[in-house]
Amino acid sequence: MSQRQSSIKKRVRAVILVASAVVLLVTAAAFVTYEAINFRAQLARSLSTVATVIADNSAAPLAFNNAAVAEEILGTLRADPDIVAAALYDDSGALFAKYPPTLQYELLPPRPEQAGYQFRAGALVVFEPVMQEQRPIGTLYLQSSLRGLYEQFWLYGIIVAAVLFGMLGLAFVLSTLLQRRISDPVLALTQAAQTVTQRGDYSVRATKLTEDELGTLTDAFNRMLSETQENQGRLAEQARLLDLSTDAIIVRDMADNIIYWNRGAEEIYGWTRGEALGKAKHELLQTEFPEPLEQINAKLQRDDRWAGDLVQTRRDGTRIYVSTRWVLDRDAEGIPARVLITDNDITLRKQAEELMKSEANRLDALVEQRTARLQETIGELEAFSYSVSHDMRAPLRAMQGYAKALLSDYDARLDGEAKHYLDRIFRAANRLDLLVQDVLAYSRVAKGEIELMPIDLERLIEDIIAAHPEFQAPNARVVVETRLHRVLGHEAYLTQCVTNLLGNAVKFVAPGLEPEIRIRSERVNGCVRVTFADNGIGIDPSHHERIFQIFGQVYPEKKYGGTGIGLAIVRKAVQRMNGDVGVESRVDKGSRFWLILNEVKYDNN
Amino acid sequence: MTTTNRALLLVEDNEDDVFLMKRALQSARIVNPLRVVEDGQEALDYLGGSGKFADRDQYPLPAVVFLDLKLPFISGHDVLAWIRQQKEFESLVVIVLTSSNEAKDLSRCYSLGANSYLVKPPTPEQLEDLAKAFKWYWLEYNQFEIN
Repeated sequence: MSQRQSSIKKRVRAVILVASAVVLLVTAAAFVTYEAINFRAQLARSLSTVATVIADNSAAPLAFNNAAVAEEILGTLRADPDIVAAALYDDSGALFAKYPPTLQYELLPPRPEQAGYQFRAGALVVFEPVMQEQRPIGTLYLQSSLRGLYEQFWLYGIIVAAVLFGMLGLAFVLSTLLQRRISDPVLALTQAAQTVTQRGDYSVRATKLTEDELGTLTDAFNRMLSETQENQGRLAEQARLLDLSTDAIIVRDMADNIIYWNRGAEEIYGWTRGEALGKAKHELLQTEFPEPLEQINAKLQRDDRWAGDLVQTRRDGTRIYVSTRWVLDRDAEGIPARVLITDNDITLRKQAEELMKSEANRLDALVEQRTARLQETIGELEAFSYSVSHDMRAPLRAMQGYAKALLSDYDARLDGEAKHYLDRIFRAANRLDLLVQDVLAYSRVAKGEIELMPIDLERLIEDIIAAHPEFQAPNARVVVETRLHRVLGHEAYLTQCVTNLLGNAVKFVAPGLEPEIRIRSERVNGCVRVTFADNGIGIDPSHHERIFQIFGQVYPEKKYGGTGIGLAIVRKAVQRMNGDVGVESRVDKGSRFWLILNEVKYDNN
Repeated sequence: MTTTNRALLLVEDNEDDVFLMKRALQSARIVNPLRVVEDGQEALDYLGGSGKFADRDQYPLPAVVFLDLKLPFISGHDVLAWIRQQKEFESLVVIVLTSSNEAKDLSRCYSLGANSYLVKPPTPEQLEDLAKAFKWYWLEYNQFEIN
């Protein structure tokens, strides 16, 4: 048990013992004093009684001046061993008789004194007048030793001492038992406090042993411990969270000394907390600032914050880029006290950025190069289609021209077969010309940017019919069944689509049947679907995809003509207008071609 | 007033097309003298009267120029541009006769001052129709500036 613990116990016990001892001593003293006074009075009273009796008995011998009788009477005093001396004086004050007879005169008072008793020199003395018929005839002197008194005192002393020690012993035992009621709660508190201070463990609690002030104190102590533990827990949690950060979190004072350094900082810079604390931050990290430090500090003072990129050096000497944010912390008076620094290692990002920059430059160059090459190709393609339209058609015209010239100029000299051959040459040339024109149309539709505009489909179709006799009676019947929606499209492309669809519809019809095309439009999923239903020969479903491919013709050219590019042009054109084209058809059941086009949502017309 | 004696100049490098054009003009019974030059430079020389073209009896200034666009040395566009730059030819009738129906060519020719733009028809019959239409319009109804 420690010094303090024993001390409180000792002190409580000492207090109890001292209090008990004082009470006992005072009680004993009072008792002894009372007994002493009482005993002396009693002694005096008994000696006076003896004196009165002896004086009465001595009156006659004294009156008759008989000293022998007087000494005999005095001799009766032998019964009381305490009476050590006695004397009779006559009325003149001269000694008449004495006891014990051997007593020397010097030990007796020379003359009688005033009646009464008095204590002197360890003895009690009494002077008693000897009366005869109410007249004093002498004086009796008695001297009693105080031996009895002293013996009594000793006895009392021994009793008092015995009682005192007995009582103190009892008090010691009782105090040992009772002091625990006070010291135990205090010791419990003390022990708890020691555990907290020695081990820093705030989870201990003092046991509440009593319901008195000490109990209240224990409660208060425990409550304080709980709060401290909670605070400690919160602080530990916050510290833990700060250490979780992969950013370096550093606090420095205004003299640039590091006063906080989290684990992120340890990882980023390689300096441990113990090494970093107290060091000058900019020196430790050999900070390179993006602008003069004075300017940064001025901004920090003005805005209370600053952010920027720094180059700093790790413990192992490698230089790293960090993105840093400084926040100025002011004290209660508004004076700058600390700077909270959050550093984020952006070395990898910087490297990546640089890599990306160089990569981007390389890609830019590549794109530029490719674009140039593409432009070149496009230019070549354009030149190609230009030359197709000019140069390739010229020989065709020549073939047709010369064939026709032969037929007209040499008509008489040519036989039937020769004329037939010339006719075949003429028609082949004609067909090749159509092909060239369609390929050109397709390539025109496939390239270039177009702008979509609201188009009145009804008028467009009307115009197309008016421009093409083959779509008019009696060659064909085109019926617009519903009001047609206005669509978002490109007029030339849409004209091409409708013309090609109508052209196919009137072309692919069973011999002898009048082509009939029914056109209607409806809203489907926010778009407009325009349907062209014909009474033609139909298309087997297995061919529905192929007919939209270039040269995807499925019917013999000899029978129906055509180049096999028409529907490919339609599909390409519709796609360029963000739409779609499709067909539902079966052999001998007619075909329903549909175009999906965007509807005009907000139109002033 | 008919313009039967005024010359026509055909600028055309393709001899087949020259042949077909001549036949079409004949079929349309156009009797005006036809002169042919085969490239852009020659067209400029003819109109400017330089070299052998200085002889205006043999190479008279034309009332109408049929101009192909795709020509050796100097393109039809450049010939047209040159013509319109000459004070004396600012009102010369120039009819572009080409196989190109590219919108780019069309707009460029009109902006350079072509009087008409014709696409060479694919068949001889159609070319003959064109020649007839030309005759009616340009030679019978159209009034030329007299120079």
